[in-house]
Amino acid sequence: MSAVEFPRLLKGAPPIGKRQTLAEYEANGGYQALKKGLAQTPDEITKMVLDTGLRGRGGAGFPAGRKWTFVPKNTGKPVYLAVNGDESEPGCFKDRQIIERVPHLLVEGAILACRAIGANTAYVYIRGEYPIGIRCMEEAVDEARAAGYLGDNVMGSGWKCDVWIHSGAGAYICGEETGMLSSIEGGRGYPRIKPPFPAVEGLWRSPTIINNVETIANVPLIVRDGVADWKSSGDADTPGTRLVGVSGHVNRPCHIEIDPAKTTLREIIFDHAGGIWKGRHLKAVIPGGSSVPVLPNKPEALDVPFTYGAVKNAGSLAGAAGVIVMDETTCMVDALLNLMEFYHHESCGQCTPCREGTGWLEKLVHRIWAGQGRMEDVDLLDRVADTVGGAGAGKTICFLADSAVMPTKSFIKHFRADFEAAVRGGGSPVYLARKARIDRKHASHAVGAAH
Amino acid sequence: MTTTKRVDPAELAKLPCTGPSFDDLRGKLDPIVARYPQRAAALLPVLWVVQRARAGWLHPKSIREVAEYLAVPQAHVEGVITFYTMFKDQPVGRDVVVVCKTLSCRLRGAQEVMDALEDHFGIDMGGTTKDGRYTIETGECLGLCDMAPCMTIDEERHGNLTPESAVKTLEGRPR
Amino acid sequence: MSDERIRTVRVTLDGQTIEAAASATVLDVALANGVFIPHLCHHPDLRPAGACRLCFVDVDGRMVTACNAPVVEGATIRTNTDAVKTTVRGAVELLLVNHHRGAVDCEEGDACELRKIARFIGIDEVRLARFRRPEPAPPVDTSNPFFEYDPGICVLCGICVRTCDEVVGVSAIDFVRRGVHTTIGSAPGAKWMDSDCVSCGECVVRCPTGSLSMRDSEVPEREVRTTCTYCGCGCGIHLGVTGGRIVSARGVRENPSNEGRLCVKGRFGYGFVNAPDRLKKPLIRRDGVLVEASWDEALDLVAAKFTEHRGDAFAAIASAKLTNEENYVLQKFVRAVQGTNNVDHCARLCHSPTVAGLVQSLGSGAMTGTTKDLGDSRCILAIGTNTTAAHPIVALQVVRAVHQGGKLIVINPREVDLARHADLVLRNRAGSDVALLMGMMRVIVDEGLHDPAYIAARCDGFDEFRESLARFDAATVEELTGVPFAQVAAAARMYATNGPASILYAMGITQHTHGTDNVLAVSNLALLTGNVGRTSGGVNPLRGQSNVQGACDMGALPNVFPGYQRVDRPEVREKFERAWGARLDDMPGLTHLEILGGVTGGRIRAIYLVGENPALSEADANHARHAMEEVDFLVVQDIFLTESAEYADVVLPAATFAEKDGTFTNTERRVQRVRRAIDPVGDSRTDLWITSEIARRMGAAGFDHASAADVMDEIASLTPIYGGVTHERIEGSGIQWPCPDSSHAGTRTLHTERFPTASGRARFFALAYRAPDEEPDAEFPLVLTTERSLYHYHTSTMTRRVPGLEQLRGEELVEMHPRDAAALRVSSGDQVRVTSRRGEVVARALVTEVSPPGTISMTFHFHEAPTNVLTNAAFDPVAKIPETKVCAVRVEAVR
Repeated sequence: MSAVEFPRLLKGAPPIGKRQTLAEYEANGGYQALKKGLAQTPDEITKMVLDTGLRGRGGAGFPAGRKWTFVPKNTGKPVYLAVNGDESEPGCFKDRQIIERVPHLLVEGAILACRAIGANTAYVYIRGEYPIGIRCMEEAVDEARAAGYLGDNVMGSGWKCDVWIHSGAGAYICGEETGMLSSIEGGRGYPRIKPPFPAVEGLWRSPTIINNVETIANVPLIVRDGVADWKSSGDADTPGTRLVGVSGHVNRPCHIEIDPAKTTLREIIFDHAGGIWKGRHLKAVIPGGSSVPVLPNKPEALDVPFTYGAVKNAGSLAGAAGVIVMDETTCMVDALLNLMEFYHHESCGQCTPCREGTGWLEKLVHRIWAGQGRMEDVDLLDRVADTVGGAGAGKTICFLADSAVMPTKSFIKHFRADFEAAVRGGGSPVYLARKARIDRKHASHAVGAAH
Repeated sequence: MTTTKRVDPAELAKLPCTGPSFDDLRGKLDPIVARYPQRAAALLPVLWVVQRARAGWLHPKSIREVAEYLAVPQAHVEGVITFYTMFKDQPVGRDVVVVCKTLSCRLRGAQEVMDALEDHFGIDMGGTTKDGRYTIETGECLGLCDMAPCMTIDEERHGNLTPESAVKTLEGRPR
Repeated sequence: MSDERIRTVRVTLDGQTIEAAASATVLDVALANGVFIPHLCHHPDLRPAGACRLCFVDVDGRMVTACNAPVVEGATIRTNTDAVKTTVRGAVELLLVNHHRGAVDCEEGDACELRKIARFIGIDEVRLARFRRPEPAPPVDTSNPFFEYDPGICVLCGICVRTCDEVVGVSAIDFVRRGVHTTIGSAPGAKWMDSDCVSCGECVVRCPTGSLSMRDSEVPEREVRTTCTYCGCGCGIHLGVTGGRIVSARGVRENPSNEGRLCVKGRFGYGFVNAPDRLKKPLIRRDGVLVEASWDEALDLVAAKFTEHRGDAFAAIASAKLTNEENYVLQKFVRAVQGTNNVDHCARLCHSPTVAGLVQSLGSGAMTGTTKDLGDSRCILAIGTNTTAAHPIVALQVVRAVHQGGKLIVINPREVDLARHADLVLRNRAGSDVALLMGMMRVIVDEGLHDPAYIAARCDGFDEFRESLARFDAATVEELTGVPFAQVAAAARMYATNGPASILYAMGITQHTHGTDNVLAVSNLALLTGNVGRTSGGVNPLRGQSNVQGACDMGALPNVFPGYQRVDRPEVREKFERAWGARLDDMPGLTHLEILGGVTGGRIRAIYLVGENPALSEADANHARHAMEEVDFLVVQDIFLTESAEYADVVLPAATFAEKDGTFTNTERRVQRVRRAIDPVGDSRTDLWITSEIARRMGAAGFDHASAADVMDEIASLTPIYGGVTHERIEGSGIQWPCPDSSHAGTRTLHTERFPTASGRARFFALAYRAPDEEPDAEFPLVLTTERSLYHYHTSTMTRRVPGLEQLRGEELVEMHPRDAAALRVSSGDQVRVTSRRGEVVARALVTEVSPPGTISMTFHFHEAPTNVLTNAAFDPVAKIPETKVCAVRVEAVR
């Protein structure tokens, strides 16, 4: 193995199913960073984070320190921190490791971030599907408050800071940062038009900084250990470690913390996750969660370090580091249909192209999957995808539609043969294997599916 | 009161609204409201508390009471409830089972697990078992991809399922 | 922001150089310059949503949505690049394939924006046919009597949702469900009717596709622009006419009072005009029965009888529903022909204390501001007004103020609907307003939040007033009002520190035996903080009826000629005697209550009752009914055979507002045109014609005007505040009086420099608390207060003839607090008997916390349960208004 397991964020973390208590965290050096941070000016904390080059771990990779500097000064309005723990991207489960196992790391990070940006209140948004995580976080916050790390007088400094846990309730779109703000304000998770950017007008039209859970969890390490130490892993493009989740057709689905500069995608799949299951071969891999382009089994795609830049050069994105692995038996039409069902289900419905378009993408893939496609439908699918969105197309308020388009276009680009085979062969092999059951169900009726 | 079929929404108000009175819930709700600069922001957490306390779903009366409590329009509450899949505007079984259907689980046999549950309980996904014990739904990625295929039963999670183990898990839990 | 509106920038739009306001969006500029950009979710009244994603344009090489892109100096805007065209075409195609109707089979025609856009782009629908959504169309919601919702052709632009929130402030509807399953809804399983919808139809008129559409709508042959006949908001409406029928109504966007907005009555309440039971022939009582007669017979009889009863035995009750011209001619008839000042009208029952009070304190008894300017107030104090029900279009400005961050204080015993928008809600005991307002003023003075410079420069009587505040210490105020003093103090601070602050009030202030004191307390408060004379500040009495302001202005009052010129001033009287060629009485005449009361003693022998219905509207209505029965000769002139008309000796069929020319003056002093849309139905005639004809048959001169415009010219010549008003000048947006001459543009805000008093200064009044005349006791333990329903108007003569309004509210409801209901073992829907010292009525109960404990409320819209038989006719000594807001009653369940 090329990297030490859990060298940083998850150092001393208990195994899955157990939460690190306050005492355990303190014994591990917990809240020392806060002590240090309270002696520093907010700008000093921001400068440290800026100097590390820490990039947002939610997927977009925007430099966290730079984001912090966007908070306008002296607006007379309160400033808020919103921590994005709505980890809903298919294939991603890395933030859950922090939330459930080392919640105090996140709490300490949130307090330090508040300090840096001039906020007194942070809301940690955690998806409703993580009830255990929500409980872990609430317990941690209660412990921290009881111990004086939170409240009206943080560690006797006279500075006030509070962290509240806000539970989602089942909507992928709330992982979109402004959709999350709508949800925290008690509304439908509708993303908002930018500008104004949240740093200027976010929660309750006040300046709001939004960071991912893993991003914030890095802050105590930076403050405690210093910039140079923190930067000892990673490279200039992707400093620090990365938490990665590996799932799909591998022998050992797992989450790992890696040095992104020293670990390749191939090593992640074949060393950390034990290789392809059932002795089969690798067919395709989605490296960064379901929204990024799929990569075929080619050396130029796999033998690259897991940095933002390198994966991008390889034709995809490191995104939120959810590696989904598919073996040689996978029908790529079936896999794409599954993803299109997801995006269709999760479209919030505000923007015409996404609301109507994600349904059409699903419908077209389904048509091919179920053996009703024509050969020209493969190109039609590709063209409809362009109508709906595309990386940075800006056709919709947020990127959900674009997130459906990126897999669609890359699936066709790299695996057109699967689509053509489905057209020619009367449908996807998965469909053909299930046809009898599907027909039977159709005939009998259909009682309402989940909404 | 549970049912295997969707209730005509116009009939929902006729079902009993079980669980504590709203006044009894205020003690729990007031501190939640206090976390936010505006009452309306507490809508999601308040709905969670009310749903959990009142048989796992939001009766029309609950919707009305929450709207009044937070001074938001009732249509807004309805809009929020129907936006989020985990808020239920229909009666549910005693436990809600969610089987993940998204890619990582599908790659490892989620479809077969769902088929087995449908066949065993004689219901379609989304339905409630005839004894009112389980509402079994599909869910989009539960973030448990490392234990795919997986399902959750309220707060419990079960992974690395096979069709057999899924059925056994549901049947084997204490009644 | 105002700088941005003035500053202009130059941009290039499809090659054309254009100058535009810096505050404009690209879409605004394009549409204003005749360049069409497809859009569905944009509406000029609403904030940009940017959701339909159709209005893409290329700005300096970047594709942006035009609806939320500001114009920037030097920008090059292109609406027709290939990228723009491809993107928009794609989105429109996606919409169309999921739409339930193709442009070909769409029945909405050119009214559908989607169809218009599809045609603009040149969509080939045949090519799309293969992809059309096969799912069955969702059912159409037809629950509302006036409009329906067809989700199948909804494009989810959200304009209806945003209108209901941003414009109407009700938020009855919202998006429900998610993604492609999104629809418009309100509650689980709820139909449109089950929601908080107030049926104003503002969403319907903004719907771009006809998904929300009027029921029973007809495209009219022609439209006539006029003024709504209902409340004092005075909205501009286009009445649609086909043949001799009114078939539609829509708001006039150019009208400054309503800017196109209408309420449920204004938009849907025109059906009474063509109701089958309109009075179409004069009726004369023969052998105790009213039988049809010719106009000659009826008018000759009336002329003969009125000749018999000249002098102080004659009285006329004019109407706030008549035009200015008609009221003018009517009071002229009473004064010049009948030789008496016995003319009054229902303003006596609603706002006489306003006139009496504000004339003393400010010099003029009308709204000091403008409806539209209310929306820019930084604080609105709404006391004794259920604005959303009684003045719905004014309420929209309150909502606008709140949406702009203005504060709202609601003071009312009942939790009126406006309370939902309020920062502070004070629920005081009915009749305790003087104590509450004086308590607030004491806080303001004690904390130095008043405006001494303004007071010194512009007001008299401050010291005496200040001394009278001493009586209103915290304990006293709390005891009298039932409101915790901390709330009173909070309201005082909020009002005093957020300016300009505007006070709105209505009959909760005036209909008391101390109504004049209440009004003076209001003006004290506004003067104390320097708010009178400021735009978006001031004192704003909301007048109830379409022309109640005008009826007062026209001198349909016993003590003043038109323009509030007093009958007891010799120089005034001489002016009118010269103009009218008659000797005029110098003694003020009898008021409304005194006229009906005068019958008993034989003082009043003949009554000319025009467009009023005292059988339902008068306090202690049984007494009024007796009077009408007893009087020697009663002429009722109305559009329907009202409850009062049944007592008449002669009934004269009058024309409605849709059948005549003239003017109404609305609550903001705006004189606006009323225009004849159709000929009077049957053999009915305009009130102007009828009154003039009676006068002519009595041999009087000066009643042969060629037109209503002629009458207005006469009014202008005698009435300084209307001096510059002519029909011609008010064709467009009306004129707000005072308008002394033809070069004057009218007055938006009153009292900006001086007050129209002898000294030019305003006056404070020292006040003391006075209790209501009748307070609850052991026998009558509850307080009854009267209110209005949004769906009905006054005695419902018009509104109950509109089936949809009757469906929305078809009966009287006795609203009571759950505590009182429990004590009486009454549930919502149960029949209850309400008894006072004067009478009893039976109606169904509505149990609601809107009513405070110990106080019940009823409207007076329903003849089946005539609430005013219960109310107390004890009146204010100055204004002579009866105390319809407070009386003591007993409630029993009817088992």
